[in-house]
Amino acid sequence: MGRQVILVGNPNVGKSVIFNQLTGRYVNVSNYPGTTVEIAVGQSRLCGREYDIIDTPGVYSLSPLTDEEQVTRRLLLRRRADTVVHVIDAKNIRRMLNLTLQLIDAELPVILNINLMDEAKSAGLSFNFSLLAKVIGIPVVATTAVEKAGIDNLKKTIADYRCKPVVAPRFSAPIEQAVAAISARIKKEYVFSKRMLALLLLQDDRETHAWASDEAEYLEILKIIRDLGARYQQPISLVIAIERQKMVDDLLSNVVRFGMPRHRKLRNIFDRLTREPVTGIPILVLVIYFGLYKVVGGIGAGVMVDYINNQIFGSVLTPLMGYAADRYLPWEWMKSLLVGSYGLFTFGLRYAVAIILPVVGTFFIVFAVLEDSGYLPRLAMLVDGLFKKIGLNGRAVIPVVLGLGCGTMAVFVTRTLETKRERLLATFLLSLAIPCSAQFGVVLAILSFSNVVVGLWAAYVLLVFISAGWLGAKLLPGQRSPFYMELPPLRLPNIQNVLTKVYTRMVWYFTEIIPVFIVVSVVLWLGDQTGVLAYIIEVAEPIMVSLGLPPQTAQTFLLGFFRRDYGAAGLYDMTGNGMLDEQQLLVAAVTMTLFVPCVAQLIVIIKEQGISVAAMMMVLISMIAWMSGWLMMRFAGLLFF
Amino acid sequence: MNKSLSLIELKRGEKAIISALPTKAVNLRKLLVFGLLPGVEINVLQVSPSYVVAVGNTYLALDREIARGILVMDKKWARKIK
Repeated sequence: MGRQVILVGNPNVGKSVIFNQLTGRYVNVSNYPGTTVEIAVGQSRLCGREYDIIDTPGVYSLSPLTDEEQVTRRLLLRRRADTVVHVIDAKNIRRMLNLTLQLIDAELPVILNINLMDEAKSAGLSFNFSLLAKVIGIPVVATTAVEKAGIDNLKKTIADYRCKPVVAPRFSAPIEQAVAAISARIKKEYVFSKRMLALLLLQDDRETHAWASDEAEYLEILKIIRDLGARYQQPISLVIAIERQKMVDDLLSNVVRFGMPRHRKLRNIFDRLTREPVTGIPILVLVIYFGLYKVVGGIGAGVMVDYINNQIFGSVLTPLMGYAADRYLPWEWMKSLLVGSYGLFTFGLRYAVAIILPVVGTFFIVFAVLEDSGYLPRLAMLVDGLFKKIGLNGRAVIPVVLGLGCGTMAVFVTRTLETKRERLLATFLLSLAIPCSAQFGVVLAILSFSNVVVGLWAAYVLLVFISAGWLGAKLLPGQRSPFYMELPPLRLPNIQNVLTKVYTRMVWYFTEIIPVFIVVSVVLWLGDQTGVLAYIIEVAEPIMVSLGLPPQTAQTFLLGFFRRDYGAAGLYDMTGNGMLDEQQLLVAAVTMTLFVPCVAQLIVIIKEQGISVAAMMMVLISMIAWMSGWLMMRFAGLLFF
Repeated sequence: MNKSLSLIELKRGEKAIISALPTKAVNLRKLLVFGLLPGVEINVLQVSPSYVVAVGNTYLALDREIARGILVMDKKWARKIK
């Protein structure tokens, strides 16, 4: 195993760009706090030695407020890093050095990496780095990672790094005395220094208290904290924050010069236009319309699916495979397993490559552009009011928009929401009323005969989304958490970042989808051969008929459960064959959109929410979907057809 | 006498000095990490649909509930008591 280098820092400081340039391999560069779902590890060879470079979710302090911050702290504790590189945003150095001081207090081997120097220059800041390194006592490296400036120097600093004891600046006497008294009473060993533990205990950090609660002298520790608290009118965490800021300002007093900012007119204009409601909401509508409807629906689900499915598969590959199977495969069962109606090739591979790949691919491109540009937090801010009505806050817009791409991924991302109640509500709404991109694209394609019908479908699904959320918010106990979010500057999306981000998500998607499609193909093939499938479909047919749909849709809906997008693709096939009239298409589209999510998403829901909650959701969703289909059959006809 | 008022009483485009932060521990810690501290200048860029404030080079979106808990005072007044 190589030496361990852990990158830590706030969201939006370009940490992942640094990671890419150190490792030459990409993970997840994001402008949105909370999209680094997994922790990325990459290898690097510096001066002939192997290094493991580890990227972590963004943190604001060593005392975590969210699950993601928790992940980073646990990682710092578990992997004994040989070096911790603290990446900061140069123009916000006053705010960000607080975390550097915490890392020093924790006695971690820190290198300070001041990134985004280009933005700091236009903000009018200039630095004396050698002085900063001297006063703070750790190596300091400046970089502009997107331009690769300073990266060689950073590599060299990591390779040359030798841990030297650094004395962190001191707090005022009462706090230092309490810290010393608490440290003396901690007997267990920890990766963080006892000084840091004492400071975390003073700030009421829950995890640290849980950890320390079996210390023999824990009660005395609590008493020290209480006594210190009694000295101040303000909470201790505020006192500590104020004193830390004072330390930072002292350190920076001769290091940073604040000059006149260079006004970047264009950026400022865009910043305002996307932020103010009068212009921001129309822009939001345009982004959704062009990004989702035109690019994902039109190009992805329309042009690309048509071409790959009809031209490549329909007229070339499928006949070719059929011919080859006829010629070379003597066994009938094997022929049907490969090229039959549930065959691995004709069903599994064709659906995955011809229908899902183009749709999900274009969605991930659009999402990555929005993410990399810093637009998503603005979106969150603009919809906060609406989301409050459904028991969530603006933060939940990210899983919801991501759900328009892949619901399974989105349910994972509900982890970034603060309360259990919000996670539950968001998961439910994602499962019920948010169509994933494959489904969304196919629904647009099958309803393309009339814009009015697309509008009716969208309006109805939106209505279900809002009323289910509103009801859920009324019925579920607990409170929503207040909304706060940093708005990063709008940045021009970096093409390399966008492409590699799309690539990573596509890899994630396909490693998840390929096993599922193989299993689903085989299970369906077995079911088909043994007659089990026919039986289940027979049972489900009357339900379909009760919605005025042809019995064959039962099969489509069943497939839809194994993979929501497969179900949508099945509908798409049936439309091509002219099996459904216009009203039936609307009924099917609405029912399918609301119907239970795919197997993969169900598994994630069970993992995140437990089996009983998942089962309740499934029952509720099936009922709502059926009722909605029935309503559409009964009443939409009167209006439009 | 108390010259402090809540952030939500400020209009768009007004600047003030933070005099106190929310007392609720969770909300307090959320704001501290963004550099909102007593004595720091805060600039109200927008009040709806969410509050957007600038503190140094950081832009932060807040809902009314958190914004209400932030107390501010006039810049001139702040200089006087310093």
